[in-house]
Amino acid sequence: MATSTTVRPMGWLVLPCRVVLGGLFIVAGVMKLRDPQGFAEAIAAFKLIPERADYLTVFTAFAMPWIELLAGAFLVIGLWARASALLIGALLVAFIVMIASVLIRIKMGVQLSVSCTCFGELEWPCGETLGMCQIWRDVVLLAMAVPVLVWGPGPLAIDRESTR
Amino acid sequence: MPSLLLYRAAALVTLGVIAGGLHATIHAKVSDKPVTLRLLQPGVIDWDAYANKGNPAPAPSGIPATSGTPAGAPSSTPARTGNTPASQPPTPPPPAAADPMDEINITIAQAKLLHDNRVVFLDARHLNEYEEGHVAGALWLTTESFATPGGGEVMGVLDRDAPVVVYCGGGMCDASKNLVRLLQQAGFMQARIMHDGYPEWVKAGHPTQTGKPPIGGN
Repeated sequence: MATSTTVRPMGWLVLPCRVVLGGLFIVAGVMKLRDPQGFAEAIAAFKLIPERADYLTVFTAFAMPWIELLAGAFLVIGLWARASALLIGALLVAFIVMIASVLIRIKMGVQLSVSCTCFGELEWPCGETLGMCQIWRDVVLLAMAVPVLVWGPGPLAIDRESTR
Repeated sequence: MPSLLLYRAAALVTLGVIAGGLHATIHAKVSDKPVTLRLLQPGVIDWDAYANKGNPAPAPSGIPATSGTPAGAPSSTPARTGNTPASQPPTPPPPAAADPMDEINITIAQAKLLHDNRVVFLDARHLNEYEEGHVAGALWLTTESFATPGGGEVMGVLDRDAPVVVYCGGGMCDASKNLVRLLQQAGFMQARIMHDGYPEWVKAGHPTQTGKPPIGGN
């Protein structure tokens, strides 16, 4: 039990953020790992990795979901919560940039057919085709990472230093 | 202490990379379906045989290969009086393809040749695009519908040893490639991609059709 560190009022805002965001990342990681072929094809469709480096695409198809899974799990149990939130935030920013790059390239006339596969088959509330919806969804998720990063893990966490 | 945060985040990434690397290695060795982004190289189509009018139709009987169209049948007859399609656009087969993809990708002219010989065409675009217009007689099959009962219905009428021609919107669309990969996994080693896609087929004035797919619609 914590000594005198009473849970700050903000803690109760942080906890749901941690659980929901971490949970979503666990789901996202597991869904991708269940269909590595599909995810590898999805990565290839972004055309950010040259075709000659297919091994890199395949490797990413395995490493990316594992990172999501670990970061999500750490966030939920509140172990290294702020570091996990930082990592998840960085991932989300990277996702936003990559999705934006696809949308911009499509605007420029490049024919790209990219499905998000961010969450495997569960794409709620967005459709399968990549669009602004996915960017907004990632922004919402990003907003959930900020409280954890700012106010620390909050209640029910393994991390001892409940603030900093 | 921001540096501690960064170290921990980096440690998490490292952990994930190690786990992913291990997983990728194990998966590549153990799984019967290793992740592959390259299409297998199919056998070479005997284009000369297809240029001959008397070629036995490889499409299995009973399927609406090109039969559903009034435009398909007549268009193939007039130019073929003898065995010399001299003025015909069908280009000769590409000489000894250096790139494996050349074996898979075929030109519009080659596709037309196969179409004339009642080879089955598969439209890998979205259903609404198919309904707005497709290669005459083409069936509708996409990577999404592949595993559905409708997809199974389409697969049921296909002959694994016969060529099938897959197309999508042309250009850089990946739908054909992804569908061919699935078809290859299912044993259809003669699948080809009409690389320039539907727009070029239309531009060439080849027969098209509109309407719902005859089978496998939903």
